[in-house]
Amino acid sequence: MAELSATAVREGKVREKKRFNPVWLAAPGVAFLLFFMVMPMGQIFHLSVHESSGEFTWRFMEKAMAPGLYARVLGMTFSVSLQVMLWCVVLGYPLALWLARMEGRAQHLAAFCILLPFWTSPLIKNFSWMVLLGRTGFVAGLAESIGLSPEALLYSNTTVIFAMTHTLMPLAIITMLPALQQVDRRVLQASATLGATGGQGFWTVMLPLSMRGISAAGLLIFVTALGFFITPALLGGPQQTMIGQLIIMQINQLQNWQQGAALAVVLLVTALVAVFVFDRVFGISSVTGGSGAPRRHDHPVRRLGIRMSEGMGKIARRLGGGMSESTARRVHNTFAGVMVFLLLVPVLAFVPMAFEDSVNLYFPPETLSTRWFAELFEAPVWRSAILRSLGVGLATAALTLVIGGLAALALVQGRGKAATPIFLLFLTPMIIPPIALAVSMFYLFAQIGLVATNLGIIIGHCVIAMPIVFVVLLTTFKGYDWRLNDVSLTLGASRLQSWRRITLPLMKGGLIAGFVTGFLQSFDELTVALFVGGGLKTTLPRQMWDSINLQATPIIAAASVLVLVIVLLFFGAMELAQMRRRTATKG
Amino acid sequence: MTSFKPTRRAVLKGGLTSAAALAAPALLSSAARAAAEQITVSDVGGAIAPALRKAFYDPFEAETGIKVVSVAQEPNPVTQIKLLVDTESYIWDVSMTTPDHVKQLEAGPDYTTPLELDVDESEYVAGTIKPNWLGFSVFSVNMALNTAQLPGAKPQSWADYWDVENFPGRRGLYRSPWGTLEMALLADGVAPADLYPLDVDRAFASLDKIREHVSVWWTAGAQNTQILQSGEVDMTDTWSARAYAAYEAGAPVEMVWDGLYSVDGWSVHKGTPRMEAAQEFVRFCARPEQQAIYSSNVANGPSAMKAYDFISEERATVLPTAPGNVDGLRLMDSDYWGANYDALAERFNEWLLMG
Repeated sequence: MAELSATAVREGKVREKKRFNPVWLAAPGVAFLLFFMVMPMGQIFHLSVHESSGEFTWRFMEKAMAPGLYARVLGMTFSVSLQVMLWCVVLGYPLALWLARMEGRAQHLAAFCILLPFWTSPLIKNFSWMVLLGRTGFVAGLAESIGLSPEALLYSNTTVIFAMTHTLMPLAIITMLPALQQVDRRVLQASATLGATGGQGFWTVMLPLSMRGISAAGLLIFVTALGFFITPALLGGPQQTMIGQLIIMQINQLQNWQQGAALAVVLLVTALVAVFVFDRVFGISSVTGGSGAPRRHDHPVRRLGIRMSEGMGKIARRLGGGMSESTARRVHNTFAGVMVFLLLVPVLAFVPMAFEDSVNLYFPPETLSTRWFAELFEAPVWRSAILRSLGVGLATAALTLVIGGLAALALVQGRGKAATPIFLLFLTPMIIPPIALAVSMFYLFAQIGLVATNLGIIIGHCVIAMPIVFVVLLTTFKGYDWRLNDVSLTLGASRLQSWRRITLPLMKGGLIAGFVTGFLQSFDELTVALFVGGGLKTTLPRQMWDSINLQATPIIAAASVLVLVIVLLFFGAMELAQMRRRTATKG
Repeated sequence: MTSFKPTRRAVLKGGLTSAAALAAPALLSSAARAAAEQITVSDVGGAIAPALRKAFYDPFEAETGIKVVSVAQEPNPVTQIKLLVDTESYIWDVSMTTPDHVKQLEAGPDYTTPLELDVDESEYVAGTIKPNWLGFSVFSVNMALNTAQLPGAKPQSWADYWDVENFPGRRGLYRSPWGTLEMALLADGVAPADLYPLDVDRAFASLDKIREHVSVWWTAGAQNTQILQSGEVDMTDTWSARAYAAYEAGAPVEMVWDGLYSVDGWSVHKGTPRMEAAQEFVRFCARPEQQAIYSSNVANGPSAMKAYDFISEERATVLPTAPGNVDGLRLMDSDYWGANYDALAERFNEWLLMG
């Protein structure tokens, strides 16, 4: 953050002399992504249109796009991703709103409960769901005891969409949260003064004002869901196969690099098209646009949206007449409570499972002991994996925050037409299946001596974490009223002072969210660690993956509990830092 | 590049010469000189890792003074092996491979290296000794039952598994053609001796009959253990050590020794600067007394039949290569799979998803 403000100072000085265009702040990030993402992806693209003998061919691309297996799987991938996106936004928005309305410690606690499941590796959660939703599992037992007999809870469309929504919902919430927090509450009070009911105020004021966060969240969820493979592989049946699984199969099982590369290219291109369409329909460009005001008031889709929200407001006014403010709040609180509980279930279920004495994963545990914790702490492989994951995570978070922060700043303050390409570039890592990124990075890193090094993993994680961190920061910078800086400058503050006393305190929430997101993206990342780690530099998810792959014992649950503890410590330390800074600011 | 130096130094300090060779190609020659001191072996990790260390890594180290660093690899390491040979980044010297993997590695340019084994082939299970590969861990592809909730009679063969009326129960099957096509043919009445080359059309026609009765298409070994252990399915195909893990965990799991066996082994990567030490390690793993230690710690059979001299009779009953068990099993034809896997995997996927 110091670097951020220092850059700002430098930028300020340069600007005074030569009218420096802040869009150049994106340069380090652009160079980083060009070298570590675009170039290796170029190699993959090159692979997809060449025979192994080196001749040019379209045959792999043709096969990837021909009607049949691949087209069907691509369709399934899009359909699942869309449904997951809708559920995440529809269910996540009230939760984010609930969170935004809270204050102080209560808010931090609630945010923590929502983020906890996000910080737990999808691999662990999927195993947890398998135990809980299994034929002899806890949920089936519960259903039986109340007279229901569910045929099969696992291996269906519903399970996959449920588990993916569950995994991505916290991401939707943290993406929407900063935008919601920036909505001035007095605007709502003003609408109430002018006679709007609570419901009407929500539909006509709150929702349109937070649309930026919603669309960013929707896009993020959609493109992330496109590359999912662990959930459909473990909780879905053959009919739920997604394109990421086929890419992995082509590269890992068939060694058909060209076909895998072709599928990755098709996925990449179609995802970019989706981003373009999303931009047209939902107006994501307001995120990249210059000022806070949306550019296209007259766009038909936008007009439709405004009319719809007005209509909903009127309906809400009529329906809501019978519901008092306090009842509405109670309904909202109950909904949030249930959702938070659901989000926590697979994570908390691991705590008792870790204290199981046998080698089985049971919920609830049958016999109690702490033997798995003893085993966890006795094994040096687990200890070193934990330390490495922590170190790599912190380094990744710092690097991503600086690179992504500069780029986000460039988009918000910069001039010119570079904004949209930069925005798309920084979002691109999300829509490349991690396996394709990891494999292409292995190629590149082997050439420059970065395979099996911590730095290699950090760079890989930085690419993977970049989009989320970038969007979080962009949303923050976007929602910040930059005129405040001009005002403070007018009032005699130096640029440094205005950043330190006004900009940073106001954007602190977003910056910390960015750092935490970067750390956690790295902390539970598996694929890059698998390839780039080369088997020598084992991270925690990699270690868990190894043990889950060969035999799933409660040591995985014990490791998950340890992860939760580490995350708790991390969270606590951050809270403390924030409190100190608050005190320091006051002093 | 200078900024990378601390990393390199740390790596060297840790004694990981192989990583240093990768991190700095310039150091390759000095790493080669240090060759005899340490080799890096990649294995599938997890529960078998301690057994490997106990039976092979530590005793080899004690005998030769060559340190064995073990790292975990993907279940199918072919992609990574090709990459590390192509890029000359020898982070691994020896890897755990199956005959199919070896076929894939020899298919184009050869990525393997001759082992110069000096053993009497007749004392080893058929198909476990090749010029460039030593099989040391025999596993079976057979059927396992969880009898806890099995509603009817216990199936005793693949024909019984296919007979959904007389043998009701929830079924699991591997989501891959590998082994599954053979089971479909055995169920359809093909004699084990006549399996190869596979009658693929007949196998898929047989699979058509069972498809809608399969509740779980499992994708990974741990998932196989999990569904057997929890009783998610009553019967499934399995790999012996996976089913045994569920049994060892206390689930009422029974083996049906009808199916195939295949072998995990070692191969040494072409061009590794530590070739001699790597070859010596593999030769060490051919010894019956070492294999006996391995098979006493993990439920895979030894390839050296003399190893049974050192294994308790009780233990032998759960191993696929034990005399009573191996009778119902046929060696999987890795030549066939090496040549046909790609096409069959595509067809299987298409069948499963489009049908």
